[in-house]
Amino acid sequence: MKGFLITLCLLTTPAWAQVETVRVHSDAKGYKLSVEGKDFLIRGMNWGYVPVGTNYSYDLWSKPTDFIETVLHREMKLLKAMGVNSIRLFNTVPPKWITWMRDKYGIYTAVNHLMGRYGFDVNGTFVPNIDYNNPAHRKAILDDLKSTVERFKNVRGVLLYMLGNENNYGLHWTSHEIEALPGKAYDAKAVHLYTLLGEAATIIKAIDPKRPITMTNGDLQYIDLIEKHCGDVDIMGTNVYRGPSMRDLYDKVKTILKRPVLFSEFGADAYNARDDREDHLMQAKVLKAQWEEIYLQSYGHGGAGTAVGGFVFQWSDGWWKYKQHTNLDVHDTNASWPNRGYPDFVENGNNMNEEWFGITAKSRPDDDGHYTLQPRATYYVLRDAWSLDPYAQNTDPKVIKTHFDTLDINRLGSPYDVASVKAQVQESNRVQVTGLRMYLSGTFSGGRGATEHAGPDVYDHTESFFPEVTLRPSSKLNGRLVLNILGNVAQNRLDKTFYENRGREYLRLDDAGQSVTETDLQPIRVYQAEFTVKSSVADIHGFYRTGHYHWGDEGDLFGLYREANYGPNTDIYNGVAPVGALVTGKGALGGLKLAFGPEIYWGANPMVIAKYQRSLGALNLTLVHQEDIARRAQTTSSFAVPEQKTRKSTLNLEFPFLGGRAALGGIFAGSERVGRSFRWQRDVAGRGYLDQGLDVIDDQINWADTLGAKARFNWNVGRAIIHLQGGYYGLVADGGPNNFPTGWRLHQSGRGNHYGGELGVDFAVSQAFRIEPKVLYQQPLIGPNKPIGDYLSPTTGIYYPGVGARNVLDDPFAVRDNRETIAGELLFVFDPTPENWFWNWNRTETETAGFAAALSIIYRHHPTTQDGHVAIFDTGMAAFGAAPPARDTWDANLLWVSNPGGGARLFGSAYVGNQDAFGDDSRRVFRYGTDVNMWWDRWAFTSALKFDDWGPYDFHRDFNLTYPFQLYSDVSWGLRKLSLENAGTRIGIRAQYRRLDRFSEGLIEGSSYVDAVEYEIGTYMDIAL
Amino acid sequence: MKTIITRVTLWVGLLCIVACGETGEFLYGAQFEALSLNTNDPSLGIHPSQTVLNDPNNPFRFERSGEETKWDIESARQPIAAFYSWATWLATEPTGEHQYYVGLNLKAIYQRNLVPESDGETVRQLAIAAFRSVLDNFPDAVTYDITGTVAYPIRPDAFRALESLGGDPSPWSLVVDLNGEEVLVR
Repeated sequence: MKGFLITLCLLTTPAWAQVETVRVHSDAKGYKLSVEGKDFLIRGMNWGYVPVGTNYSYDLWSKPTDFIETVLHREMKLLKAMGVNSIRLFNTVPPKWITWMRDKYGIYTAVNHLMGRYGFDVNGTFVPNIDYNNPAHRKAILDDLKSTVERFKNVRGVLLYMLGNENNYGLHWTSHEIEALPGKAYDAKAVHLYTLLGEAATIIKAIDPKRPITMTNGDLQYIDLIEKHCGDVDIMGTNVYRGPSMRDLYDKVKTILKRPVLFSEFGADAYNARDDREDHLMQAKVLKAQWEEIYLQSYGHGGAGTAVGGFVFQWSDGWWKYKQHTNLDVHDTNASWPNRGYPDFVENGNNMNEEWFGITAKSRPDDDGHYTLQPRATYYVLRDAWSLDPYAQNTDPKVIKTHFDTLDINRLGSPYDVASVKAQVQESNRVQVTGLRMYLSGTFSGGRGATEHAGPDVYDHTESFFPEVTLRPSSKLNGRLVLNILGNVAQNRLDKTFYENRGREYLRLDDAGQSVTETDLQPIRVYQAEFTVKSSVADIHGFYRTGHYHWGDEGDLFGLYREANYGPNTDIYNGVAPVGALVTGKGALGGLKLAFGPEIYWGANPMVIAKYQRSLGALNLTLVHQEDIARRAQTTSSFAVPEQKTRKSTLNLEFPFLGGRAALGGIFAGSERVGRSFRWQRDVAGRGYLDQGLDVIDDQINWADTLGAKARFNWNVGRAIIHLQGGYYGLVADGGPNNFPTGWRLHQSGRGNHYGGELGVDFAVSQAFRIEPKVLYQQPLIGPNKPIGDYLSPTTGIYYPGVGARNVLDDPFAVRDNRETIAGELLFVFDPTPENWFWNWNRTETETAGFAAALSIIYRHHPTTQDGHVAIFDTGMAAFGAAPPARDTWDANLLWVSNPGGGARLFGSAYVGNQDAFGDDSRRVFRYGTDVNMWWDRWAFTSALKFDDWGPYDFHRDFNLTYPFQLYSDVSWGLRKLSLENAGTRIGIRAQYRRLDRFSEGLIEGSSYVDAVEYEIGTYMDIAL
Repeated sequence: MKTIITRVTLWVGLLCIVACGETGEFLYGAQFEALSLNTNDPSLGIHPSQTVLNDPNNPFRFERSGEETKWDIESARQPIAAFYSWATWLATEPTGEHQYYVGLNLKAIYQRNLVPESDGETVRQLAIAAFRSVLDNFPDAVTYDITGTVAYPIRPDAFRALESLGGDPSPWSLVVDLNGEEVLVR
């Protein structure tokens, strides 16, 4: 009966009641931990589950329960087999899973509050850079800490509490990537940090006395402040990367802090930067030496006695660590910081390869999101090393040394050698077919009424193949080539502009004036290609129709090296861009980048752009020079009009300013246009030239017209982020587009011939809701030309030349996006999960909020018009002779994403606005429309409605061709969930329907447009291997 | 930092002062009689050359003559002005008609001795090249009658003009087809 009652009590007693007590024991022999009275050396691991292709924002704990369990069973089994008894993570583990891991696998968890290291929510505003001296910031962090400890104090499986993650380094580092170690310039800020940590430790102790408290300091920096302010921190926790030996660390902690030490992070990467190859044996040697030292420095072995173990960094490779948001499915071998303590150190080079710190390598995820691990040599070495109990009675330094000496790294590493060879055989063959995509589609199209498509429905089909080959002749050279091979090309598509349309038939006149049917068929064409060559001097990356990013975040204030990610547009318009190569200097050439090629962004002239960036303390200095080699003669889209051959140089400075960041720069551009003539106008009181009320003046470009200057400031002020920018650009001092990641659509032009500025405020009303007003002012130095027809007087014989609108093809400058503007934008953003930035390019995949949306409303006041737009006519690229009249425009744009549950994802947009064509047609267009998309499991649905809007291509807006109604719809099913980067195999149906009126393309000229409609239904199979 | 800001501010101010200064010459009308022909360029006015757009003698280099004005200029009997007008049209919108009228006006310049005697031969060769270009480059070249509605081929006229200047039209020959119409054949 008694046994039954005891059993009943145990079964019915909640898990939280069986919380272990973890103690720090100290005596003359040193320090050791105990869990429920048993000695406990922390054989810890920095653990996380981040599949290849994702980054830190991946949240395992939000997945379905069965998915989490599958992952934990796989991972914890391996960890337990190794002998790991505790883990540390960078995100918060829900209590139930902490207890689950403890109960099923005996693995404890360190609860790590980051103490604002990567920003914190303060009174509803996400503050990216915490000021530890700010009372509001401190209170917010400590309040959150309190509720965290309350939440975990009764959770079985919690080993200890950790505070921060290298917060002392965060006082200096400017990004979340690892940088070289800081100097002592931030000592004053450090005091505030450590008083905060001290207060935090006191709070924890009051709430949960059962678990010890540690911190995660960057090495022993500021140990004197730790001693002074962090009395309630029981264990000195530190991230240390000193190489095989921690040298005097144990003694220092003993002497100064009189506390034990645990390594919250330590270890080695498995990539040899000197030899440029994976080297898991090098990793194992370092970790073996580190753990031998831990054993010797632990309790009772005659050393400092302060070592209580540590959390190895890290369990599996982090493919996202380099750059963090790009190349997530590439195992980058870039080393991001130098460290002399490690065997592969090279002078003037970096040797810490952040993506290779795993003691296991990971495979790419399968369709279900699971991946497999291949333990490296370190796994087996530590498994065998940990079989020795450091606290056993007969364990002494001699036993420890003998035990570690017998660990044969080469033998223990052979399982991984075999496994990785197999993997490399699959991935590293010199030439390998790495992909094949087959696009097969059939299309019915037709029309009714006076359209070119009227008549019996027509059926046709298209086949398009994309084989991909990867070449890897050596570890320093790899390349990728994708071809496109055409089968049949449908001749009946409503929209004639698509990638395969080079296979469409067209009519031309022969020498005898007869029409003949021709096909400009290039059945095989290079679709994409790229290569990378690595050397100790520089890396070279060549690209052909594969995108690249701008240098706006690397000191290119004037945006000369433009963003070149165009999505499907280069395919639609058969653009051959970007094409070129990028050389990135290393070592002595570090800071130098050189980009060159025939079209390094769409519409670029053949050019060379060089950038040199250097840090001088807190100041970043960047020099950029662009030299056009020739002038591009044609383009495939009016989105990408090549401008005249030129050269540009900019000098830019970036530095901290009044608590924010400032950037100042100067530009010298267009010097080759000095002396060129241009014609301009100004209002005059009298009749003026040809009774137009204008003086017309012939002028020339001078040297001052080649100069410009720009300044940009950003500040965090309370709940607001303030952005201020202004610039003066000489007539021909053309920069590139402004590049900065915000949600605003209103931006100052980068073109010459204007001065102006913009002021935007990003104000957080609450954690979820932001209001972001912005104003813009632009004024051309010389305004657009009003077209004036020429005149030959029949009486006097005097000829009065005409004046035309300028254009970027023929004139030294023109008024286009730099037109006179006074504009305002009001942006509302609702995003209850600000940690997933709403403006990520892949927001439709990364946004986790139940509902998030942004509404932007823009009003533009244009007192004057523009010069002529350039479009593609039948005869080639040419300029319009005029522009729509000066009048205001406005538009509103809504973007939204929703995760309603059940694995579904909805997203879409809506717009309305009163706008003008790009060309010379003066008809005002009031347009509106919406699109809705749904992804659910393997299904995808898209539908778009447009009313009184331009057609889908550039020439529609160029020539003001609109349709009263357009509908596009697509339903598809795939072998896996749709993803923006890789759609996989899909089968689908698409439909298109539109009504025509007298403004529409495709209407038969001179006919009535009543009941004129066009439609198309297609099926497709897009097979990707 | 203060020094940097001060220097940048001064530099921007200097830019404004220099750039905002008054320059340029007012545009007025002018008589065509003052025009002279540039005879240094053997490709001037010959498709596909566009050098006429940069010729400082060309009064239409900033803005070509209007759709109607070009005919007014043609009718004004000022061949140099008309040459430049048509050559500018040809460079910006290559058609056989434009090339043909370039040739006609070059021929007129030559025949009326509107250039120094030493340049006469150059102009004759230019005229020949212009008519040759009509034959070689514009197989569908037509012009219109006075009403502007009836098109007729101008290559036979170009052929005859070329011959009249002493040029060699080969390999082109002018024959009469079965419909009694003149056609050019190689």
